[in-house]
Amino acid sequence: MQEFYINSLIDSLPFFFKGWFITLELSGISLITSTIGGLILGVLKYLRIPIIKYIVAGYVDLIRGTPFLVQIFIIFFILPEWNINLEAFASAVLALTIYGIAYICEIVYSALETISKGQVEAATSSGLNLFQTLRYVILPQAYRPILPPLVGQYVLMVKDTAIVSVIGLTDITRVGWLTVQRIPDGILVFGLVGIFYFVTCYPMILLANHLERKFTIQSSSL
Amino acid sequence: MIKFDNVNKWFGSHHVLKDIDLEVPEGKVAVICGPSGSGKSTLIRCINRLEKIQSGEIFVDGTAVHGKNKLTELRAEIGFVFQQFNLYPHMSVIDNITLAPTKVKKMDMNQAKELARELLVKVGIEEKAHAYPVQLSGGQQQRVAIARGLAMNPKIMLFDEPTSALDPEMINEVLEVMVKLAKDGMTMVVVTHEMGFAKEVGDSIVFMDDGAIVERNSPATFFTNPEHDRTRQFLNKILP
Repeated sequence: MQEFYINSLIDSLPFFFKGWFITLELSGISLITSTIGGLILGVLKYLRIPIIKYIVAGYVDLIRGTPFLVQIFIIFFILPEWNINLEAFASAVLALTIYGIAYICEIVYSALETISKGQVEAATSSGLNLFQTLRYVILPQAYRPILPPLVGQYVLMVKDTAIVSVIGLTDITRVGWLTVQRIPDGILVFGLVGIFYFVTCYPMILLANHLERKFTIQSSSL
Repeated sequence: MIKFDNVNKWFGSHHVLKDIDLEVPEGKVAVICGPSGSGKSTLIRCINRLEKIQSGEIFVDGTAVHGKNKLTELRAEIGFVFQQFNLYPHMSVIDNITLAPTKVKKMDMNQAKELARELLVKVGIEEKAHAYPVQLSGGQQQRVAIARGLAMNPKIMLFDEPTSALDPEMINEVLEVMVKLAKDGMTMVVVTHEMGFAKEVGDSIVFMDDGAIVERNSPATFFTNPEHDRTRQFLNKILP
């Protein structure tokens, strides 16, 4: 019986790869959009602009204070009420982006806060405007504290894409659900699903560890 | 060149600058001293608006610093040297110096590098042009910081305890550069406890205590015959 399952599973592999590509596509796009958004919001929070700082803080708290699953449901079920009809993939990207931005904003903000205020004072005292100060002095120093936790956040987000299968997107997790109905061996099927995620995430985990070590050594030698 | 007109500043309910009136004419050096917490750093930081004031006004070359003028233009004309140097750690010495001239004044990069090399010769560390701040001693870093300030060809140089973070053996190399600068006719305001420097190049010595200017005098009078008891007590504590 087990052998039969394994053989049918091997026959379904193309289906799995298809789901995996959806997962990769979804993760890739969402990582890019949420990184851009998170950078902008993180910088805005760092600048402490009146009113905007409250909006950013409210957004971040709201997203971090509600489950991702609920956020997806809200986007998927509420938007059509306002006559905004997104397909499952677009809804998933939107949900992951909104969610990712909140976390990446905090990573960027905390990293910027680690840079001494004296750097800003030196730059602005020499006549650089705020934009130039950020562009040439602050952000180039911020990538070290940003990168390791950012890659860590990417790993979390790749895994969180699993949740979007609830809105009918045929990602690798949903492929698992569909397959287990034909091949009723949960351990086998979801073990395979798990392998796909692990293969995706493990290089990123190694990268995060590597960056962490590299930057710790560099900053301790400074 | 610099004029404080009845300046007051509070940090919350703490009154840190009290009715400050002070003038520094062009080409003169004012040395500000006083016990820690007396407001001297705050005072110098108000000159280029690193700190805001709540009443009064400061004029630099006739321009009201705290009015609604173009702050970046004003700051480009005032060099500021910090106690902690605040060099940009991700840039080489020469890039530290050329950043503001190329970005603010849109100076050509080659011209800016030429200028930077001249300034490094002036502060005596031309061989360190391509080093990074972390590879320099404190004294060298502070001299780079001075060169960085001079690169904007400022009308005024402000020094906020420039030697307080240095090991004793490095203090003189920084003071020498500052003395040279003063003798070249730069308008300077210097917060320092280096009384030797004050005697040598100070045109006036300002003693601050508890947010107010207690005494302002020429070095000769200040050190030999101060008017106020508090000045005398202070000098007794810090002079050998």
